[in-house]
Amino acid sequence: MNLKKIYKIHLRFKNKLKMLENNKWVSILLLLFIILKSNAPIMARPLASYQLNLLFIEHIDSLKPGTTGEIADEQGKPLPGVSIQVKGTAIGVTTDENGKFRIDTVTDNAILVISALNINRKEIRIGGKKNLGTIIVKTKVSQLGVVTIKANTGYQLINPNETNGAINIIDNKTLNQQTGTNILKRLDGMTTSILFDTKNIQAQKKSNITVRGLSSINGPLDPLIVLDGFIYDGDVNNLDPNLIDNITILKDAAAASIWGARAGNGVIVISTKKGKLNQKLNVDFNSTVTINSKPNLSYMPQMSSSDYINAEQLLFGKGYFTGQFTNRNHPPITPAVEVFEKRAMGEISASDSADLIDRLKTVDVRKEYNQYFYTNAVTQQYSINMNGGNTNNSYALSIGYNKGIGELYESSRKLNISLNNIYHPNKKIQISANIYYTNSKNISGKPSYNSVTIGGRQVPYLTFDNNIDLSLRGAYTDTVGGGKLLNWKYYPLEDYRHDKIANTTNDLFSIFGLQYKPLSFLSIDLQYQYEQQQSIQREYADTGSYKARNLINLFSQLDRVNDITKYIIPFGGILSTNNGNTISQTGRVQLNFNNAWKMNAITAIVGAETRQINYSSATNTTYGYINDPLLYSNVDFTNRYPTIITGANQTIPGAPTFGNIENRFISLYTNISYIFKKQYSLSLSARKDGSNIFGVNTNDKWKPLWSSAIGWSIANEKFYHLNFLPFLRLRASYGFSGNVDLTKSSVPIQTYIGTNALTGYQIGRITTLNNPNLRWEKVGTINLGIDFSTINETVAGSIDYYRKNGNDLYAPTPYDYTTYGLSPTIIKNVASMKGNGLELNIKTINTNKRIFWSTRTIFNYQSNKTTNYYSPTSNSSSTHLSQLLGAGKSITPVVGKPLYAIAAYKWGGLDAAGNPQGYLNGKLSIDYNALANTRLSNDTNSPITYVGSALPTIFGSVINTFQWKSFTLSLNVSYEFGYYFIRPALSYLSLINNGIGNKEYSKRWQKPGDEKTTNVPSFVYPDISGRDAFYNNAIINVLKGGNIRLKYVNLEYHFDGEGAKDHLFNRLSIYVNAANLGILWRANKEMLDPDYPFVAPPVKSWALGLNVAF
Amino acid sequence: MGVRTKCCILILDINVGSTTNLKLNLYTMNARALYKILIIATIITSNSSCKKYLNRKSNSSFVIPSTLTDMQALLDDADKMNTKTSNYSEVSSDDYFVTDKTFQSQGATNRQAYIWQPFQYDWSNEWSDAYYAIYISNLCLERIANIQKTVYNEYNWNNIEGSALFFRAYYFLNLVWSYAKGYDSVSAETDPGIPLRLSSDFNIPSSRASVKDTYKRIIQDTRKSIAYLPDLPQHVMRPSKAAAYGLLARTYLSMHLYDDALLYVDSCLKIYNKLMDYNDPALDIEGNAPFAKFNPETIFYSEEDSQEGFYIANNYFALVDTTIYASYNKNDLRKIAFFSSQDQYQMFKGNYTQDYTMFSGIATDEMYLTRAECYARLGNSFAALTDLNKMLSKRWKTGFSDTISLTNNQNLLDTILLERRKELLFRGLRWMDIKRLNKEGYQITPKRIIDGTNYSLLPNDARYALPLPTDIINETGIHQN
Repeated sequence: MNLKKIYKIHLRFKNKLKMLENNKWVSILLLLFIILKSNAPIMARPLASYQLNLLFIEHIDSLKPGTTGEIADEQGKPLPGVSIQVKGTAIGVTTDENGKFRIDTVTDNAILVISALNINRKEIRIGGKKNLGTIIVKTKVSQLGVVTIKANTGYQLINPNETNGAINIIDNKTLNQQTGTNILKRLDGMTTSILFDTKNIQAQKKSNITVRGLSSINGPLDPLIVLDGFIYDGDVNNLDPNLIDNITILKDAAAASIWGARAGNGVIVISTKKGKLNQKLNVDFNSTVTINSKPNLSYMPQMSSSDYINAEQLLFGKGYFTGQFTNRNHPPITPAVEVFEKRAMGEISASDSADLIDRLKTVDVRKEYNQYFYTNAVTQQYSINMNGGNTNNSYALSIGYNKGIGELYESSRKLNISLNNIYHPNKKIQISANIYYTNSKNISGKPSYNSVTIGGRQVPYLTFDNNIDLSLRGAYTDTVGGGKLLNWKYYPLEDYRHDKIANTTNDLFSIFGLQYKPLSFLSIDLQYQYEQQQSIQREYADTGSYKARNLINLFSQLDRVNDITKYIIPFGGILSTNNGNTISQTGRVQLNFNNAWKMNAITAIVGAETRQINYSSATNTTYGYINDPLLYSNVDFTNRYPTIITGANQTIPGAPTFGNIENRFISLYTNISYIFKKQYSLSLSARKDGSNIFGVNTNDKWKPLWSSAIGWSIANEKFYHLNFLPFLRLRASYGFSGNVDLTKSSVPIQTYIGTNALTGYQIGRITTLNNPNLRWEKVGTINLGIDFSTINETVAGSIDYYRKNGNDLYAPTPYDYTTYGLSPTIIKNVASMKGNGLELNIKTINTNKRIFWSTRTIFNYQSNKTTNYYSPTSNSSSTHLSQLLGAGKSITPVVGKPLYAIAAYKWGGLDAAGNPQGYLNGKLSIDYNALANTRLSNDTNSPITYVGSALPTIFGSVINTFQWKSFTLSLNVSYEFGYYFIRPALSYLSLINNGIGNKEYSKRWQKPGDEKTTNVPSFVYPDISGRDAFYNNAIINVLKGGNIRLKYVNLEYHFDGEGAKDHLFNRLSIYVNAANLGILWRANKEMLDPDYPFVAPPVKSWALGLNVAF
Repeated sequence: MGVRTKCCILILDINVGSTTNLKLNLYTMNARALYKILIIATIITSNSSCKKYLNRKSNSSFVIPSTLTDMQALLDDADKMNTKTSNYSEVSSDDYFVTDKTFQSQGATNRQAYIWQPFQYDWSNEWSDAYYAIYISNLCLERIANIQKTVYNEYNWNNIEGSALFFRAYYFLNLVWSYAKGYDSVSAETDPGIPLRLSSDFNIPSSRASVKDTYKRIIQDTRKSIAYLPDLPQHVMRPSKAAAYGLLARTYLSMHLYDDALLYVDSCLKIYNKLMDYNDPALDIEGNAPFAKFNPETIFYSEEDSQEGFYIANNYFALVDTTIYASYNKNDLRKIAFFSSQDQYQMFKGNYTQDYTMFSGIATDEMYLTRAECYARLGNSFAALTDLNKMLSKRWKTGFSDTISLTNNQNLLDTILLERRKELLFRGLRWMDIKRLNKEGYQITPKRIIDGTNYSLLPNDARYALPLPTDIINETGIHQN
């Protein structure tokens, strides 16, 4: 040890002691005492004192009040999230949302290093100042405009570079690259882990969005939506994207487990725009007009009119319709069949009949729909945001207004008002209020394609300029009343005017918060959230509507003798209302601890939360309702009245109903993260949830969930020498989140379902069979991640790999239903599934000269499979591959196979008679019942074969952004690979029974030899059992789903900088956006959109927008 | 209890942690304010008492069946309790036929059932429906055992106990008629009957009891129910003493025990014996649905299950057997009330349901015919004739009902059986009648003709026991018929 150095330190130490008058003598005495008492050799004594000195220095330093300051950009705008580090130490802090920082353990001569991704690094010497004032830093001219925003987990704001969990942040700029009115749809193609699947909406899911694939088989599938820190129970369509600042997606257990039992499907945290302290008023106006093209109805596999009529003629000849002409219910008959019948009865001549039929054959109902019902949808979006703040108050007021006419002339309008205020009466107290109000109204439009049917038969040769026999035969409605009844015809061009459904939603979401910060490192939050969403569906079918006339007629009683008609349902319209009311409340107490000393930093929260949601609903129907002058009548919903058609007795539909559901939760949670030397971090999170799931013993209602994670910033290590990669961080996490379906129960639940109309007695029914062993679902996730960035962020991004293990999953298990009967299965926690995936999110800056060009590549690999379903001892066939025949539209668990998967019959072509052939024990066969039965065998001779996943296993997008002068062009090309879909194929059974055809009828086998050129079976009547099912599920009808599509192109002209200051505004941008531009490449040759094989794909849309900031 | 403690410990933790912090801290602070916040926090979290908070019912319509009101509501669920008797036995019976075209328009299960081929079917079906009613009965019997009978609740208590016993026996009998061979005292001990579910616990595996044990159970339960049930119900959808006697009469009749059957059918008619007069102008016998639901003849109301085979035997399609139709005299008002013509054939419109659905409950006309049959079989021709004539006089045009007077017992029995057939069309009784009569040597052979091919079901064929649901066989491995 260099003596000179030691004395130098001594001197410095002594200088310091002078400032601490009180301690001076004590310290010196103590020091002398130690030095003199020491038995150490003379040379070692200074060393001992040196050590002691250091101890003192640190002790004294820790008593110092430290220094504060504020970081702002050239315009004086405070910069949050900037890292302030004491040079040569691991001590560091980041600026808060107002750009302020406070650093405690620092010496007078220390140098602070100020850095952030978007600013130029700056060093500043403290020089003993207690307040450094506003430090202006130079922002990097990053054309991407990257601003480091903090990730919001809902419970705390965390620095994305420091979290050990897997999260994605989608900033405002990215959200604004798409123009839709649904905030979640704006995530499509913009981030990893989120897949929009276009499969049917089922009870299990309200949205079509999954985060990291599926975590449950039978439980709820929707990710949890959080708005400004609290669960949002309203309709997500209420949220105006223009009022949203950013979105954080919590993907793995470490990130999501703080949300406990509801987080199994991932969490999407939405943050609204907020104001900042010490910022002048900032006004931002945005306007967008979007125009959509009409849907392409020619995409639908509609059977040609002449084919359809020929098929009807064939069925008529075979007598299929005979029973319908005499049926007491008088079912409607299609126009062509009426003609055949008239001809058969000799009412019209052969030539008249041929003329009528020929005329019908020239009609294509798609033209009718297109001409009369469809239009170009137009949406207008306006929003204005005002925010700012002074020294103790920050505010933001946003107003959004959307108005639109849909493709079927349905109208919609929505008003959003968001108000956010944060008030600091003094340094220790912060009071905040956050109110988000929505009012929206949608009114139904004209009938959609295939909704006008003849008793369910989708007739392709309908014309709309005349009446249509919707549910009763024309010949019957012509004569039944003898003039005593109301007109009983349906007029498609007129009816929608008389029957309108209006949906009104009022939603108020508010959060009130009080934060008390007694110590710089400790704060207490008290928060209360209240939401009330009131939705009213009001259908008014006026006197002229088919609905009203039909019901009035149905219950009319004709007294032919006395020539009196008695109306049980009064004249007038029918008003049906359905009121839904959701009220949710959350109270939260949270302690935040945030401190750094020496090499250590601890951030911790601990809190308790109670939450309750109440859903209530009421339906009501009023008859004889006329809105002007206001008239209405009462009807008898209790007694049964004869209906005019068959004489059978019925009660009048629409008796009032009421419902009330209340769910309650209590949660305790904590999240602790410890960072050592800014290099190593460890985080732990635990949460315990209790809920009032019906009928469970209280102790079983509690479910503990936890997670832990570690992070390692390798780039900060001494041995790290990869200079081109200044930022490199590894993360690993493991933990559990949960899933709970509040409808599942462990006791026999009796539901009161109303009063029996016949007896007047209350009806109770056991709707859920008891299973006392039901538990909540549990999803374990391991996540490994790397975050990296090269110098100047030329290449930056993150790579995540995860494995998911869903255990104790709900599964409807077949059982001996002799024991209960009402359901074929009961719910048990018997299933498990596994999933894994890889996510890449990489941004590169390709050129940064005159033209700036950057590329963001998003890549996802996702796979999952059922690992256990039912008990292995069960001899049930339910887990067999054959379950996947025709599947892919809903989750179908088969052990070892993906949750959405498809299996198909092996295809042996058509035989010489046009019958489709399968393989039975390796030989061609047309014994469909045998094929259906032997499909259960597992050997290679099984007539079915596994095809693959029905959801994309590889998907993502590539977003290229070019910037030249004031122009910015963004293109998003998305891709999906590794999946299959079933194409709509012809089913003769549905053609015969339901009148639903398919255009491939024209390609059907008609004569021997056709089997060489076609795969479409011949038309046989009566149908051969199992033949259609075999053909529809044959492998030839399963197609590869791979596709690449141009999602959107966004061109923006941006006008700001120095020049703009002379004008009225600070910034102006004009943008043009074209979305859903079509498929660039697809694996199938049939020109089908694999995501929309059965319905018309989303239409192209063009948007023009303007954004001005004052 | 555990939850509350944990809640409180957490709050305590916060308290202790913070106070320690406070004491150790060198900064000054407003300790009072912090305490205030903590007190509020403690109130918010613990005052609501976690346990009580979570014990709130999540759905107001939900309840765990525990009170008499709950149980009565379960038994009053008429859609599940009163409309689920076997329909496949109707599909298999010979009251009707369908045209080739109708046949071809049917699904495979119905087509096979129509021509008595072993048909395959899965949940949901009349088996599951019947066993739901049985499950409810068992649940009520188990749960009512926990409720003290007092003078205040005695009527309701008895009604539930009796109703549950009755419903269970009612469906057991209905199932055994369909899914087992006809009762034969020689083989009843070994013939497979039906699973006798006597508990609501789904963990107890099902197995088929013998036909003998099945009937024994039915008789035991029904007899027991008599003690609890009121003579007549508040509504015919609810069981009563009269209904229980009728059920016992049906049971003994199908066991060929005519003296027992007579005893009970007589008890039944002693309580209630009203018949409708088809001459009554209040009955619109020419109308589409001449008989009111819950008409005066109904003692206990039930309908055949309207799923599965319903659509083939239903009067959309079903045409009445031409021989039966021909057997009605022109002065027999049933010829008008029961039938409407369909081309050259007849459809049935005489359901006591006032609807398409088929009545299978217990009615006085059936009871009169049963008593007449028992009297005839036991040699009391006079009494038999009195009953028969009493019923027929209400069916024929006034003045035209020639009183039947026969001396030969066999002829009398045949006449009664023919009238039984003519009166009880589509009432869910024919299948059992064919089975029991064939056991006595009547050679009733139902026949079908489809596309010129003849199908017939010979007496006492094994196929008289209908196949059980396919998935039940797969799941439980119990014996298939």
